[in-house]
Amino acid sequence: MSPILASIIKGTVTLVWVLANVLFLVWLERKISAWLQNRMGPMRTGRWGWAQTIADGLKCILKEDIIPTGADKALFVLAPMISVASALLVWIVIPFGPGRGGIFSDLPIGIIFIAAVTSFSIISVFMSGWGSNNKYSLFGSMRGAAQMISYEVALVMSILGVVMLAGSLSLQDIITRQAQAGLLGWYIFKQPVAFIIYVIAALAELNRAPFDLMEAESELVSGYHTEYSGIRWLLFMLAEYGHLLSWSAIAAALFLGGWTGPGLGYFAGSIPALNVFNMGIWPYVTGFFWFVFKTYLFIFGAMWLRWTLPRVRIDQLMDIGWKFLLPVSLVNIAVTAVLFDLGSGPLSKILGWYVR
Amino acid sequence: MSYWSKVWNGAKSTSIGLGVTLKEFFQDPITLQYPDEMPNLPGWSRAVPLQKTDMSTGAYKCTACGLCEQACPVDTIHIESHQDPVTKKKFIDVYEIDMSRCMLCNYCVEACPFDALVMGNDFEQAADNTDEMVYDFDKLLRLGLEYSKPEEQAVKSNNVGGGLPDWVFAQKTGATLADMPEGVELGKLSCFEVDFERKQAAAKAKAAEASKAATEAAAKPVADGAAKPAAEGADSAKGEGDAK
Repeated sequence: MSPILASIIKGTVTLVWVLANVLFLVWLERKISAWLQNRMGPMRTGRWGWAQTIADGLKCILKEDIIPTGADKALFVLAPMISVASALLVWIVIPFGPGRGGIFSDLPIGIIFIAAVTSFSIISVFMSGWGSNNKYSLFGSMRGAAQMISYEVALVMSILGVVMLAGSLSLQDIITRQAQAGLLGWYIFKQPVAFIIYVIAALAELNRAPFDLMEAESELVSGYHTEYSGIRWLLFMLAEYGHLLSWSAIAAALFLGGWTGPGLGYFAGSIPALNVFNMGIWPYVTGFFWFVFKTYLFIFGAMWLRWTLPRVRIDQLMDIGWKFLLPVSLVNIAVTAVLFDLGSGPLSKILGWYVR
Repeated sequence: MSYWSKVWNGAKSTSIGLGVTLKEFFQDPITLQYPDEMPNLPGWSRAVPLQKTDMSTGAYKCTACGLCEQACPVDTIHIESHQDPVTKKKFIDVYEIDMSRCMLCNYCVEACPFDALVMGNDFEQAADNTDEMVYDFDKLLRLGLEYSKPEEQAVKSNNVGGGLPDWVFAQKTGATLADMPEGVELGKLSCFEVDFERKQAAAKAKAAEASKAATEAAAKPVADGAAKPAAEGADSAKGEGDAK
């Protein structure tokens, strides 16, 4: 197989994976919100409303394309595209399974690539707010820019602790290190503080409640996408849920060991016939299963939090970001660094397991 | 509040909130899938005033007294009736309720002295235009069948023992056209006719008893008193056949 063909196949699979998951996630969000509130959610379109998102999507595509008078057309049209592009590009470095076959492209600077690409969504938010010629859009995008820049710092700082332990920026390497160390080697146990900070900061990055200040439908009509409708609005939704999916997948990779997990081949020691599952395509199948399972664990957590907590105020948001998350993540980095460089003293014997 | 107690409070309240929502997560939804499942409405829910039928005879219970018409605050009820020249009883010609104006105040039901009206809870009464919202006697009786039961007498049971009177809560009996007595058409037979039959039947029974007594006491010469009611009973035998 030529590398170009392989790239095309991998790219198509990634694109379809994201789009199909977004379709499911929107439905899941509505269902989970309903179940958390003693409701049923969509029930009319197909059994259990499974086709609800498809119906909504078709409706959005068929809608009139509206660009408000006085809007900056170029910015207005470009913003949703950039938003979607950033949500899709992340998937280049997220590993689905072990080895080279389980990842689109195992960049050695994976984490930095993710941080760089997801920062694009700040630009798209500000473009849409500025281009809409609407005060609510502008308010929303101002808040969004302030929020996303603040939390980006804490987010990357929290990931740094993990990177220090793994000694690599590549997500595939980070997962391999966790796979080698076994269950207790997962960085959720070695870096619990970083994990908590990551979850909070990622929720803020995703603009999900309790940090959905830039949409804030009770204050700003709909925030930065007030003026959007039809397919452009659809693209924003696609980006939002694509980001949710990718952040959950990154969290699973960083803290829960990504694709690592026992498959059927795990029992090959006692039942030799099961050794088949350690060969060929099977490691990829088990890897993919665990990857999806862990990702959806985080997605459920995010939805659960969203439908539990009220929205924070803008000053509280800034307080949490700059006064709590950033100092705590810096302390976490310092502690990790000290432990990492203990040498061979008595402390190393007590705490050495933490870093090795 | 100090910095760390703020952090602690935030974490604590978040976990409490998550616990609350998780508890709700595992409870059954309270949603009613309305067009698929019908709500189990309580008797006091009001949707449409209806005419009741006595299911033992098939006669409508309304006596055209017009008290509901007078009680109605928004003039939705319209009654036209004719009077029997002999018995002076009134019979319904037209009985209409304009449901587009009805405000479901229940006054007509409370005013009715004969328990002929009931406030039904069949709320699906929407129509395309206001003409269809004028319910004629036939429709009111047809919808009211569901609340009709065999009655002993046409008079409302008065509320002597305390508590709530019967008519306050609509009770579905689930009667249908199939439950109507044989040969009786809905809305064609008045309670007065039934009343008349009942009186005739009583008179006939009395006459039969008298004639029985007369045959038993055949030896006795005085049998004049029994002869007259027996003749009356024979006259009404034809009309009685319809009702029974």
